[in-house]
Amino acid sequence: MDVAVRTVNLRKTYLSRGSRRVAVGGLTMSVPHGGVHGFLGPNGSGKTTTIRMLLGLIRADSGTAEVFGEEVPRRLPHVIDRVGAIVESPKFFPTFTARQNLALLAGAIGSPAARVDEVLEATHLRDRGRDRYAGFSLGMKQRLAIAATLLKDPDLLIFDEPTNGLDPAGIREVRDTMRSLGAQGKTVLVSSHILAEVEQVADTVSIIGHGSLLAEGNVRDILGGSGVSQVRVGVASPDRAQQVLEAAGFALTRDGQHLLVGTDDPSAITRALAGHGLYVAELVPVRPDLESAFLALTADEGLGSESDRLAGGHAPGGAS
Amino acid sequence: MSGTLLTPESGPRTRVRPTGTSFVGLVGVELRRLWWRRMAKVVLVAVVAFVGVSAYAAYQQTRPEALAERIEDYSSIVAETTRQNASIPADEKAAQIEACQRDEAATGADTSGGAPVDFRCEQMFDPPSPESFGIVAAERTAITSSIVESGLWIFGFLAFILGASFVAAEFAAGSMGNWLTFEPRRVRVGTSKLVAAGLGGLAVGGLGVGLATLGATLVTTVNRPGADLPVAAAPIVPGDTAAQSLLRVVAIVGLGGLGGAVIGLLLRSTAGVIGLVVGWLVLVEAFVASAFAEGRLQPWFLRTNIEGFVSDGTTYFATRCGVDGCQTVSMPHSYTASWIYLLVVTSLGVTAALLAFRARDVT
Repeated sequence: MDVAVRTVNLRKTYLSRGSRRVAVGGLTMSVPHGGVHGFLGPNGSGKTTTIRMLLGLIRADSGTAEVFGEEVPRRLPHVIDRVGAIVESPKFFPTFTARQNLALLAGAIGSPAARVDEVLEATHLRDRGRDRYAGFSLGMKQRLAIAATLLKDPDLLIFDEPTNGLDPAGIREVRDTMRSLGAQGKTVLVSSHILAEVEQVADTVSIIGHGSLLAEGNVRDILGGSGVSQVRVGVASPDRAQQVLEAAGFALTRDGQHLLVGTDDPSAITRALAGHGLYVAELVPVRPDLESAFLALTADEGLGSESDRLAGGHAPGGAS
Repeated sequence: MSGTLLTPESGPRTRVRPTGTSFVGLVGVELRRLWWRRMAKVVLVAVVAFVGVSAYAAYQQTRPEALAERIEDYSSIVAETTRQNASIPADEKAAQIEACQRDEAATGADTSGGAPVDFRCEQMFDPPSPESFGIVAAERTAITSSIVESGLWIFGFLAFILGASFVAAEFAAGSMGNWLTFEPRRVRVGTSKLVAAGLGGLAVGGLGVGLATLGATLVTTVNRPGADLPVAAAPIVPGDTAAQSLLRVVAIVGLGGLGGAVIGLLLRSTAGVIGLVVGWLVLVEAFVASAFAEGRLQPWFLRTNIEGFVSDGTTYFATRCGVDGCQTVSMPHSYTASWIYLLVVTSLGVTAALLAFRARDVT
């Protein structure tokens, strides 16, 4: 596999007032070249710290990291022109205009001044170029941050929690942008604690908890590997239906007046119930999602409290 | 607005990816940022205002009308002094002069290593000089030096704040991290910021000196006394000496900008820098320097060395105790010691700031 980003046993511990907190505890992960790669984990699981280490903003205690085959941070200057990043919220000089902020960054990398106009236009900010950054809405700030990354025409774009605080239109805009960049052959590494967000845009995913990798691969494989395949059954007599299905060997749980039945063959449910004079009023396949996968992955890791901090974006078991 | 921001056409029209800029280019970018900052405008206005007020004060002081008033006062005082002196017997005068010379000799003997003592005993019955009444013609170099010397600490402080906020604001806004994702070579980035802050400080100093020279030229042109006023010519300061002194002021103000950036890089907070500097000036430079070791620590403090550098050597007061008790004496501090001190302190500060910036996490 052609790898854009690789970390091996990456570790970072913060010391604060005499206490030690392991932010990243030996993380080994790979981000394939091209497409959108989700970097998923609860708040505080080490995503931002990992990204900061990849960008040379903080030093790892041990382990190695590579971007496009170059060891970082030692060789970061050799690849930085291929990397665009927005870490946490966009951060620019508040009293400068959008154009001034971009002009400074363009100057730092030797990009021609005309490129500033191009990226302002590409991010629909041309008319606001002379406005101060401090007066921008969060969505516009995010767009300006994307414009800044485009000054370099990067091959790898790193977005850290890119939709935090955005309105629905802004979220869709950023999501579509990430998809578009992935479709253009660029590698997009998007970190998020919002499962639905990653699930909608990512081709591949790395799931971390407590600073360690829990799972990695294609989203489809991860979902399949979670072993979760359920059908939501609505029936007039759920108590009786539960007895019948349990007697027939189905694993199930109650969800109010519905039954959640684990099976890959929904027709077996209708047959079993019909054989006892019970007729199905509702039969909805529950598509496995990343939240279910994550819960399954963390069940044995003692990460229950972390799972609680994940924002699912939809009800457990609900299709998105 | 919603939709995809980026299309395949969003990439650069020129397909050559930028590969960075030179160090000089980076300093140029930092200078541009420095110039765009509101603080830079505030500092410029403050410098213009200070020099303007100082030049106006010089104008008021050297107006022909003011000189004429002073000449009148001076004439009456000279007449009164001459009348009083005439009433003192000659042998009493000689005795007073002799006593004065004994005191002078005794003080001089106690200040071994100190500056030479001159009580001007021989002149104690002379009438005051016209110069001591400010009856001198306006002279450009003298006025310039006067404005610049009084403005040294103000220009230096303004440059210091400019440099400190220039760097610390980046940490406060969080844009330092963003900057490093474009240019990750920290020593190069840090050095470019320090150089820009130093150049900004030099510009502040240069502006102050330039405006002071301009103001002094205007004042001397406007206030040139007429032939009817018996005004003494101001003592002529040799041109190269005056120029050297002004250049040293500019250099110190430049160091102020650099120093601000150095401490800003170390503390990462403008408020922290201001707190540290005010605390240092009040506690250390003003109190500790004179309160401990009988004042002999003063050569190791910043103020003494800045004064020594600008004024081609300076003096400070220390307490010296002997068998007859303790006396406050004036001690010399040379120009050479001053510039070496400033060079060493600056080098250590810059090195510490760059090492810290290189090693510390940017969050």
